[in-house]
Amino acid sequence: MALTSLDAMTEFDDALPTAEAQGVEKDERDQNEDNSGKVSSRDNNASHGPDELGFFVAPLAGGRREIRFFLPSMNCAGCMRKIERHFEPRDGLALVRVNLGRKEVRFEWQGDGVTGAALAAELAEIGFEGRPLAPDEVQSDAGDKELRQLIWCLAVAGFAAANVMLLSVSVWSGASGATRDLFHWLSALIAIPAIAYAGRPFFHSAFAALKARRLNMDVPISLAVVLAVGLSLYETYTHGSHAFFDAALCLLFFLLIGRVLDRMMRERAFAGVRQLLALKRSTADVIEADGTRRSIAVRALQPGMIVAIAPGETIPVDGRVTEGVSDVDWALVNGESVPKPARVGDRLYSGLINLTGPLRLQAEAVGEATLLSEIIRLMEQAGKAAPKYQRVADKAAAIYAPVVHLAALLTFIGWLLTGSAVDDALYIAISVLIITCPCALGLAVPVVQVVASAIAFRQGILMKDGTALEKLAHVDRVIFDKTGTLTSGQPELSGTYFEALSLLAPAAELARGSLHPLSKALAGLVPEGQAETGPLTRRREQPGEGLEGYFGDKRLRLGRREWCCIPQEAAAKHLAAEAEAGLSLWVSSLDEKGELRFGLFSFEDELRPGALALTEWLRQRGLPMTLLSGDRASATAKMAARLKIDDFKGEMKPADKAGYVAACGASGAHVLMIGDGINDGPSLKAASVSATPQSASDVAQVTAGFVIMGRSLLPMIGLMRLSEMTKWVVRQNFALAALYNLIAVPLAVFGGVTPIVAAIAMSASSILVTLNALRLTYLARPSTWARNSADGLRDDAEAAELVTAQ
Amino acid sequence: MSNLLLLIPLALILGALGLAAFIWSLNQGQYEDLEGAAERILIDETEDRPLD
Repeated sequence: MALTSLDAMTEFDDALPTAEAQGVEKDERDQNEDNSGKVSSRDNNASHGPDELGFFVAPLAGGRREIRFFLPSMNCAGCMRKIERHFEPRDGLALVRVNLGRKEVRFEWQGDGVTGAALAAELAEIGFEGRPLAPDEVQSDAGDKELRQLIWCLAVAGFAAANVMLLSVSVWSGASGATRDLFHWLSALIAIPAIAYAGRPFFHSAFAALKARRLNMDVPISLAVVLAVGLSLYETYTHGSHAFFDAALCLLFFLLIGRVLDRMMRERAFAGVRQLLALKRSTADVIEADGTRRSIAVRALQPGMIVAIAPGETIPVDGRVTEGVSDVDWALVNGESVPKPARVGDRLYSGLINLTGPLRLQAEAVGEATLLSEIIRLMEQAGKAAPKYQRVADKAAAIYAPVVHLAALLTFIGWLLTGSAVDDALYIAISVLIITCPCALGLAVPVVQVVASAIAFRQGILMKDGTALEKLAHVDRVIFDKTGTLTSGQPELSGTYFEALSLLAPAAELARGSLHPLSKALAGLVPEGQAETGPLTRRREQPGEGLEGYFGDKRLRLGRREWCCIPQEAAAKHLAAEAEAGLSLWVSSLDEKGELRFGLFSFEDELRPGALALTEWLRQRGLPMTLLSGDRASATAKMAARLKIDDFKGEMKPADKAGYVAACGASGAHVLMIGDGINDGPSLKAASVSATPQSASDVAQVTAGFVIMGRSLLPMIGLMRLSEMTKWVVRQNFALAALYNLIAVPLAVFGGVTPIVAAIAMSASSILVTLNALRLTYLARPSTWARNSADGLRDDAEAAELVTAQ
Repeated sequence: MSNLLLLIPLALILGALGLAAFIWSLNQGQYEDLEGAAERILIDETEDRPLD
């Protein structure tokens, strides 16, 4: 059993029912489960031989083996050539293939002449830091298979539609008698198997919806297709003149285009998230019983193994400290901005960052008591409580389908009453169903979402699925996490007390080289070698306490008050100042005469770029904002004041956060949650839509609907604008579809629809809707915004001006 | 009429060939790296060097 949070995430995906995961998507989840089963059995077979990266090597048929690396720095044809040229076939190495789109390189080889580790080393030699991809991270999994199947369906439908259309054109241009019958029979011969094959995605989903006593878009689609085929068969059999085989196939063809686009968009988004996660640490150093060190894949860690963690590394697994003392950054786990000391026996969690001293950790299983299992449990609850969302397309279908079916029924009765024969009335009623089939509707939403996701990506936002964008347009309340979301996680100096200012230069010199965030902030203030007190000697770092060094005979200490030997009474009256400052460092200098000088540096979290602009923009729009943080109440209040957020709560546990978000949702608000930590996982899930920065924890990135690439939060503004524009374009598309029906339905009701009219009308409406969706690209150009919106804040500077002007 | 008996099957066979070719290329993974395929055409099979 592997222990990383990555595994826990796949568990989320499988275990958590999402609001929209019904029908076809249910099948897809089943497939995922099958797939993960296969993978875990492969995990067990993973060789722990001499190849350090053996875990990542996948066996292929015929004794071949394969490994894939993700290469973030590869981005041009030159890199591609460099890599493929460098690895010439040798030692059984049979294939080197670069995938530029995914930034992957794939090696295949036979025999033991090649190892994964050797390939990685060679890649590094020619300048590409590769990150091996575990077999189950490789993209050719269930989702990909489904896309491939949809493309097959599309190809079959396209082939059949083109051929049947050729036959139909000859019928329309005047074939009659036996020739027409021959053409109709031929059409049936092509159309029926093609529809049976290519229509499956729709039939499955319609059947699932009916079983759940719901109506979705696929119900009228399936009905129209089946009825069209049935009617055409009857017409053919009775030597009639009108067969709708071409219409049924064109319909499927257009609708499948929509499905394929939708699926491709989701695949691309998931590939993006996978690549982000792939940037994280993939191997851990394990200490064997005999004291030797071995590097193995994080995902292959077993409970009981001893893991060595150097300063600066992320802790890969939950466990207890068996050796060493250090300071640990908890920001991603519970939102606290002040690092906490870690000693032997302390429990640490994967996702924490080790700061100052080397640690050894005994790995523990993800059992009931671990933090991650608690988060998983909370996320399950949150998933159940999350507001159910009905997709716009399904909402439209819920109104549309009954209306259409009623219209067909009334047509049938109407024609019967006026004295027509039963089969004439039936023919006209079915032609109503065919002409009103929601072809344009089925295409209206996916095309817009694909266009929108491409725009969002250019602006620096990864959109996981189109539904998130729909939901974003309805947001009327925004909830932020503090640490790591509104702040960049890097503190900056905000105040000095006592004699701190005069000790700043030597203190900065002492702090240089330490990984502690406060030391880094201090060191960054003074350029190297500026201290006039001579060279620093005997520098040492005492994890959990602070730093010490000598300038000549002068001893300088930086860290906790006790470490700096500052008497409590001297500091007492200003202890309040320290508490208020939150993040703080004491400094003391003891010279040869025993004279003690001391001072206090206080820090505050640096705002993430774009945070000010985003909050100011939201305020201008009148959206209420709330700040929820796991950090201390005082720090939370300070941040809220800086960003002018009136509503804030500190010291929130993950369950409190999720509860608060769920309560907002229950009271009817559409909540946008922006958070990054593991502790934000449940609240991200509980919100109706969520976003997370690129630096976020795995859990947050997998859960959130949007991932903001880069450091700035500014793209969120563009995204919220885009969501509104998308809403409008979707509505326009629905209006176009309605307009089409307004013309087509009366025509059909009065018996005026022939197959040629149906073919032209359907194609025209589909093309119209697609063209309208493409308009979004023009609408969303930044220059268009600047013209159309006076409220466009371009950056923090502008926002700050506004804040101070008020 | 008799020319139809030849032409229609011919049209269908040609269409089916196209379909088969598409599905073959799909299974070959030819659409997996469209970006790379576009760049690959710029890479020469052999290095260009001036004649000695």
